[in-house]
Amino acid sequence: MSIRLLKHAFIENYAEPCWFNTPSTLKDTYDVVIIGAGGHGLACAHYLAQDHGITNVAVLDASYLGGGNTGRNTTIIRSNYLTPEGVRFYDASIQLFKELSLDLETNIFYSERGHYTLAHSSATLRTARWRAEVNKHLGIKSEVVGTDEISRGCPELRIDCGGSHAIEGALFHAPGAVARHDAVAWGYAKSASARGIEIHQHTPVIGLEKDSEGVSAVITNKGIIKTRNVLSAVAGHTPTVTGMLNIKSPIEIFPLQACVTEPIKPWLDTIIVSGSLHLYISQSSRGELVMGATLDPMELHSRRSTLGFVTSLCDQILDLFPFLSGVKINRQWGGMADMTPDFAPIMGTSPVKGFYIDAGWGTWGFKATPISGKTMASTIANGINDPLIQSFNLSRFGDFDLVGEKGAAAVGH
Amino acid sequence: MNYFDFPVIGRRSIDEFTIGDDTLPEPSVLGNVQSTGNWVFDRESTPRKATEYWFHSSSQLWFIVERNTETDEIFSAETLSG
Amino acid sequence: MARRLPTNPNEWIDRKQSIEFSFEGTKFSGFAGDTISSALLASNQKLLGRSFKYHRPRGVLSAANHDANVLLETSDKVNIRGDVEAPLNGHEYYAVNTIGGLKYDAGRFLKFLSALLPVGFYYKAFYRPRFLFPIWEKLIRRMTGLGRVNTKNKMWRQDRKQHFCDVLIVGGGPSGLAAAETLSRSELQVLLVDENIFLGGTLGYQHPYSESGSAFHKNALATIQNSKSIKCLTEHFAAGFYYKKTIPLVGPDGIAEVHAKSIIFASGAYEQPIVFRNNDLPGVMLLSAAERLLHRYSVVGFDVGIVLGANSGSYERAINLKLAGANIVAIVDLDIEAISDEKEAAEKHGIEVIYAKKIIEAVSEKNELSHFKILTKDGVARTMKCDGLLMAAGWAPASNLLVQAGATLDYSDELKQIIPAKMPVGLFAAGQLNGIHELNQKIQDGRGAAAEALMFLNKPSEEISRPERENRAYSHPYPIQTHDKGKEFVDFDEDIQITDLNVAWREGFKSVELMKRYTTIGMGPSQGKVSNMNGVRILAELNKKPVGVIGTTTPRPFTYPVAIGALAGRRLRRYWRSPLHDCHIKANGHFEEAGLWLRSMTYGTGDFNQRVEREYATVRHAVGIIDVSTLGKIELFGSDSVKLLEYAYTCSFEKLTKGMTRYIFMTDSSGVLVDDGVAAYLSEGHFYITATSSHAHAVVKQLRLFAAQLDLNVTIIDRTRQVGAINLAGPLSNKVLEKLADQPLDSKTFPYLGVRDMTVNGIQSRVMRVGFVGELGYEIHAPANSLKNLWEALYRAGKEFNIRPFGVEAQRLLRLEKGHLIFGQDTDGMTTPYEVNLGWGVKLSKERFLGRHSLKELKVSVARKMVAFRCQAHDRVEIEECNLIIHENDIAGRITSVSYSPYCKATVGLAMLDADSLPADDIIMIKTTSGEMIPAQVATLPFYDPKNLRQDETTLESSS
Repeated sequence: MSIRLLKHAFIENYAEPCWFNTPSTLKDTYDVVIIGAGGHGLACAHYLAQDHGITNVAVLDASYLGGGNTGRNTTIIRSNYLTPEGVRFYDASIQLFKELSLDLETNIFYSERGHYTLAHSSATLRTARWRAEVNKHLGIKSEVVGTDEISRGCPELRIDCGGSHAIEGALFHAPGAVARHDAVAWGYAKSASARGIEIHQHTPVIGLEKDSEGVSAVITNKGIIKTRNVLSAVAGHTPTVTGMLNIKSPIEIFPLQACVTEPIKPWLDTIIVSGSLHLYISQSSRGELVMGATLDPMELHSRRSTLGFVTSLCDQILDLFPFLSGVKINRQWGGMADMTPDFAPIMGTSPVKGFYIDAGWGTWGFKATPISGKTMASTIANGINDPLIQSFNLSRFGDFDLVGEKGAAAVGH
Repeated sequence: MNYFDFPVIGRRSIDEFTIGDDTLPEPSVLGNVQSTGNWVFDRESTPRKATEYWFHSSSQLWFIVERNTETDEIFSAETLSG
Repeated sequence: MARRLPTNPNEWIDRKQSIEFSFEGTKFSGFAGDTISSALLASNQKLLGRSFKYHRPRGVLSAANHDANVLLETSDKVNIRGDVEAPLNGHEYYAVNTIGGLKYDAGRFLKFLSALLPVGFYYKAFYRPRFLFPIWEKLIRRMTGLGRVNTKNKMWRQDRKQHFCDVLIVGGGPSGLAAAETLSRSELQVLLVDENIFLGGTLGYQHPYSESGSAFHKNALATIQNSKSIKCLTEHFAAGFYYKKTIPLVGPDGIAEVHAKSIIFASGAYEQPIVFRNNDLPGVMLLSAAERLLHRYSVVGFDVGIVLGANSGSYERAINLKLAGANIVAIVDLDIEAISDEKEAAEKHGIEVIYAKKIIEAVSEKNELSHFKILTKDGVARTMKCDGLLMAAGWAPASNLLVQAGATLDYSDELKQIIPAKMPVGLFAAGQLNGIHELNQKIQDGRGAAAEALMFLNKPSEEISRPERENRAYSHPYPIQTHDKGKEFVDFDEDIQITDLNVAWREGFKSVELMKRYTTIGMGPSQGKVSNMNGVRILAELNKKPVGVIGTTTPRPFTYPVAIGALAGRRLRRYWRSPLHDCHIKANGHFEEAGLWLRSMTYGTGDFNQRVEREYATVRHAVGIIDVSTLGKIELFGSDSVKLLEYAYTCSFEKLTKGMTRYIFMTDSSGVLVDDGVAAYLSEGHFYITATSSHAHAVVKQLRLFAAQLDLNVTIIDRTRQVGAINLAGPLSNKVLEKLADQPLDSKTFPYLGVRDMTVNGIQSRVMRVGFVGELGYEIHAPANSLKNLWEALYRAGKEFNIRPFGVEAQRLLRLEKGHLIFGQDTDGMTTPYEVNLGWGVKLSKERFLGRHSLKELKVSVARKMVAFRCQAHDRVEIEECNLIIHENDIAGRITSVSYSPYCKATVGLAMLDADSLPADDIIMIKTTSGEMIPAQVATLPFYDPKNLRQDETTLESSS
């Protein structure tokens, strides 16, 4: 039993110190200003302090910390990407995730569940093999499995899929995991805060300024901050922020929605994704089935929920798990996703010196939280792109040098 | 459900439409652009009144639709002649 | 002990029909019209559930589904809401989430650990050492969740209906009925929805003795019944608010989706618990719960009841309850400034009035409330024996839908309650939801809202003013009483106590959203209906800020959870079948789904390789026949047809002459290959083109866009499903077709790549000489309804030449030998023409076409290159598509197509290689699925018939 819990039990009115500071005023200047106190922004703050000793940092958020895509995603972590640069990046993320509970002294509930991407046609099975072969070659545990193995991993799954587009196989990614999203954000906030980094919630950025030497100031509702280093980590709002410096990007904003059922006793231990049925499902440690689908089809800057999303998701889920008819959806929500043309993030330096971008996370980038923080911290500290994110620079679009993830444009979250 | 009264086809749910990817015809000469790549890939995606091409598959008609990309409110829809 | 009172005329139960069921293995009976909760309480069963975290005993709290204390399961239903669901004859109910039964739930021992399980405990423990976490996690997963879902359950789906109306009224209580009554005088189509089986809302249980109320109730029901324009939907709840005033109404038979022009929300308010030690014991319930149970089901859940009142109105309600037959012995008044005439009235009815300074605790005996301890106004501790403690401390508006609609809320310092502030246009709030509590005012408010709705819809309306809100509080400003030993529950779903909120606040979770996430307050199955308000009050106190400044969390759909089977709706599965589908079945086709189509991959008996090779040999040496009806088929008419093609496709059409076809492909604006096909030039301004099966519709759609954008004079007709197509291929194909065609087929009059309209077996057909599989061949396009006739005629005519059908698999092998690409298999989402040796089909000198600017750039920087390869071994090598090419231990590319070639007597294929990894020695290394490295020789394409001799029937004849 943890000493920390014993303290709660035996010391009257015991509470741990504040997880994060809540300073009321902004300083005039910081070495680094991070826009967005989500997982990525807070992770960057943590690694700036831990790896580079940079602590004169302010993390700003328009709302409360972890309230954007960090708190809205369905927490799936995996590294079964198609390109070597993608695999290396996300595998590095998994390695950090595995140690994160200890590093942050916060249990983030990192839980390996195994991740099945179902193939309902020979064409998707072929793409699954492509991913599997790339992964295997790079030392990542992925393989194409047949229906017997799927049934062993998830006996409840209906292989004939309700009579049409039966499951033919799957890409099985054993390291596929889930984690408690809020805990990741809070853990990073705690660690950054402990090292003196300031977290300013409810401090929206309303403008950015630049001069001949690059980015020069951040204008907020609480005053102007002078700084030479700004990170935009505001997935879902990136074009608005980059627009403040007239930086153009290919990012388009689409809504992404999810929902959970009432808690039921756990029966689903794996993560199931079906690209052709547009859904993914796992069961949380609270017993809720966490379910999501693909992006909504039209650009929208809103977190609204739609009835169409939840009805079509329910329609499809019964193909895989027909016994869920009587299980009830408790809550649905939406968020905004930054989409890029090549399904890879946009990270690193930008045309404006000192202005760094961490964006384009598509379906929300939770799985990249630690590594994006670490590589962005190194990029900001050194002023040059970290080797791990070199292929993700914004300049690739102008150079026609896209990342190859789009090769297999299948759904995965 | 978001619906709108369209010309020709009447009141429709927007779920019946798909949106065109390349919205403007490719010109024979690119104007003042940073590079071809930027011309191809860069997008404007801030909350705004956007003009979009929408396709209605059961009538096989294209429409030009003006829409608020923050509220989803549709201001106008016209058939694309041709 | 029976707790059912004698019959009352307004009760909802039918005493003539009894229902027999069991709960936790014990038999119970109730009446038709009962809920499970009321039937169990009527039989003195007070312990109805166990809490989520500490497995504390729980009973009825709201009797209205505002809490989730009574959650049950049967062998095939999970998380049944006992408060609102009827018991079914013969069903065996169990409480969810117990270990070894409700009464002796082993999980209750968790209460001894509760000190060790502070808020956020799982963030603070179980992670060190790391390897133990999976064991902890397993344990946590065993303890978590509520009911068990039976994975053998059969699927069910309910229909979803659509309704349109002028005004939707949510809630059939006094305000909603008044609104409906007012609107009945207009012509407007009105839909009145209520979650209960009968209309009336609080009229039936909070104002049972109001004569004016009863008269209004009776009149309103009659008016509504007689009105043609008002439709009532009872037993339905409004589950959420969506764009354009769309509201799903969820009922027993499924969901009715309502699209309303205007909405009047009269959804009332949730009565709120008082937070004190052991406020969750069975026996402690909301006063409104006791009222509902008594007036609807004639059930009194206690022998000795005390009303714990902290607001205006609780006196009258206590008296009413006593008049109705409940033994209310005392009112404990937390609001020390109560009005004296209320006190007198209560005492006149034999109810003692006690002013309390503080609640100390509720005390239990055998899992049920037995005593109640308070400190009186004079500071004297007093313990009272009671088995019913009825809380009346105030209200929180049922405002979820309002907020989803964009309304803002305010905290009224007079009412000590949250009220709507700014309403979106066309939406109106009335009644308790709107901070109006007095019965006549609620009625008046409903009428006022109706008048506003009429005005909004530009209908004539008399002016009806809304009542002023009273300046007395119906809610206690802080109905929260701490106790040194804790167990004062703020959230019943999640077992959250005051201390949990304190700790969270001190740990930095100071905003309402962070507090919710850290403590999980309001995140349980009842979504905070009876916990958020108290949570906000506590948070305001901690932050030393007014309640109004703290705000509330964003309420998300649904109001109550909605079953997946109801949301799913009826399944409409579309599929398409080739006009030749029956022929394939007859020929023993082995099918595979391809999008909405079903395609025959191979035919006949034998194993897969035998079938493919048999069909392959037929085409190479005799004549085969394949159904290609799934191809996209598009006809273009008009003087600008060529202009359209020139813009959409990369090649030039200048040299294409009438009666001839050519291979075409298109890219998107980034130069990535999208689709390929054949264009046939039929006559001036008349073209016929094909597209791949999966892109047929996308191509038509694009062509229509281009034609409109460029303002071209062209008519585009999608023939895909009107016209079917058969490919007749093989050295003897001309012999078969000759027998049926009305035109000569010799290469002089009908050359390779030619197109001719002719009749085949009397059927008007369009025939193209194509060579996808590398043999003399004819693609015959004919009306879908004649295609079967055509197929059978060709089959008969080919019998003497040993004709056979061949499937998609043999076709793939045949084309691979010929080096033809399959889009989507040999190309991927990034492939450009230059990468796959199609540069010859891109005419950059054309003035304008889609992809031109990108292709200009891509031509000079080709990142990858398609190569053909051949394995050395003469037998079949186990290489699969998407196996990798490895170059110096790096991934250099992948196999896109591979097959054993009977012609080459070797395994051959196509691979996409990084341009900088092309091997100098022309040997590539293929890594198989099992990890074996297999060398292969880079080969030139095509493997088969490089000089196209097989397309000329004269050379064919001389060689045979």
